[in-house]
Amino acid sequence: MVVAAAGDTWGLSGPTFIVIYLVIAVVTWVATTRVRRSLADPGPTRPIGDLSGHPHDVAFLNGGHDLAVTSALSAMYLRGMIAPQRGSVQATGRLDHRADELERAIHFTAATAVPRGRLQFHTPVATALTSIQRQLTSTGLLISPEQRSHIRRTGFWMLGVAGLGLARILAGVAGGKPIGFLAVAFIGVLVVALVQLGRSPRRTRLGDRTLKQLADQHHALAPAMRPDWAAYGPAAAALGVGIFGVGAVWASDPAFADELAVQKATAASGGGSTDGGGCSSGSSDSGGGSSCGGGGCGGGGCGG
Amino acid sequence: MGVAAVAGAAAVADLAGAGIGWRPEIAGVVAGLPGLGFCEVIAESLAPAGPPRGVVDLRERGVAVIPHGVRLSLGGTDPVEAARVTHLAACAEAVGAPLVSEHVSFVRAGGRDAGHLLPLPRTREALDALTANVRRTQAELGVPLALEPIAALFDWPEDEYSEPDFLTELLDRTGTLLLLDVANVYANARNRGHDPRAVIDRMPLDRVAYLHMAGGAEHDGLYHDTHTDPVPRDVLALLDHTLSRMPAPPPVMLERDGRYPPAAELETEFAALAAARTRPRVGA
Repeated sequence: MVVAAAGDTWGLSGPTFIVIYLVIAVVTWVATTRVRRSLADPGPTRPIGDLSGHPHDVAFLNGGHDLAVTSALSAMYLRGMIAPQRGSVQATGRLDHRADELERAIHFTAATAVPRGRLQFHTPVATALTSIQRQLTSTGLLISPEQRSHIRRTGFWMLGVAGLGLARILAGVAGGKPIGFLAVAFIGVLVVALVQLGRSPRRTRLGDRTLKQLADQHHALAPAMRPDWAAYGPAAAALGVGIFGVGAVWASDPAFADELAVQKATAASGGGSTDGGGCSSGSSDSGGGSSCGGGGCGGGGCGG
Repeated sequence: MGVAAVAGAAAVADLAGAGIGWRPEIAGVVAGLPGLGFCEVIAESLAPAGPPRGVVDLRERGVAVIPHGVRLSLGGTDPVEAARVTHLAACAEAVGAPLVSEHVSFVRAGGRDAGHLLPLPRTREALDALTANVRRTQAELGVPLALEPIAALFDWPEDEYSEPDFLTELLDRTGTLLLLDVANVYANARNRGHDPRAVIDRMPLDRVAYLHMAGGAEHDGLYHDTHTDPVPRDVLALLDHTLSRMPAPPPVMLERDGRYPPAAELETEFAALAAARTRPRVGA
């Protein structure tokens, strides 16, 4: 094989360059994937208690803000603390002494009817959700916002590789050389770079494992069993929603799910990795919610 | 108790204590019942290749599992469907059942499905057909078969036997065991103005494999065996009476099929049955 000949761009023949380029791309891809994985697995920073007793924390871990609110609403509904009606929620009756911070915040906020999807943007609820998020982050189950942006930034390596490909393409075009194969490789590298830059997991691997363990431990609460909420009681019902997503509400109490206007599409577990962007990045934007409300999360697109 | 306890009515190996009907909706509650001895799973809802996880877990804990058929239609005039018998046998094998149970009733006739359990006319002819079907079923089962008389709101005018006589004859002919539903006896006797205790006394109690207990409610002067209400005091009293007529307390099972109460209530109801079993009795 002729490695170089007079007139080759950068002194390398097209086939030689593409081989080198592909090797660089694959090595970078593997390396960044490994780095991302290790960044997503910082190891527990504090011992984790049994999350079963904190169903709304489980819900937040699984599906974020929206699912935590749905989990709290399910428990509160079964205790007669809220009444749902056509997508809105209104507090009824006295606050149960067993209510936790999130439930108290919802009860307070819903003194007048509030659309379910907007609850999470009211300051008391947002504050309670932020404190759950902090707790889950500090126990090493959720990835901190800083760490998530760190993970996304690893995409710049692949972007650099894409840049190299682009430079060669431009030089080749200038020299009147064919660039077909390289263009295909460039597009592939660019796509990987953009995905890496745009995405980062919400949960640590410990978080994923914890969810999986909970699902295994509480398999009787899976939607396929249509668990009876009256028999299991509010806490277990909320835990089922937390572990298995809104599908659990539809399976056990379709009328309630309908009144709440929660999405029918079940995003049981493992989803939520696209719940990125501004919504979950720390406490600063959870108060007013202006940066989130119109975005992907407010409409229910995330957090399933 | 004492020496008599050695010979239970028709003691089935590995079947003892208090049980409950396993239903997916309350699987977690059932798994948490203290002192659970056995449970029953509706055979038609069981896939022998992959029993539900909750059932498998119970088996591993040593809780006996009884497949309970509801659609075999043993009392039909047509021969029992071979595929249904095969399924029942496969269920028994899949869960390592000590026995299986079905009903003295028919659910389809002339190719039409009634959708629920219907009472048989207690005639010689019906008994012959039933006997043939039971024998066909037994031939394929690797475990004993227990038969449960049902609750019915009416009797056929051509009845030639009383229910206890009909059952005794059936069990004698086929060698099957009796799954006696105390609540059914109560419902049938009460709705006909009979004394349920007298009916119990005439039942072939020496053939009892286990007892069923269930809740019911009265509507328009008739008692309905709903399985969705608590067990009434009178039915509990009839259980007591039944147990007092037996040398040793047989296994007793609670059936609850809907409108489930909170777990604690179900536990209390279950505990009441378990306690009734072990209560010392005069003359027992």
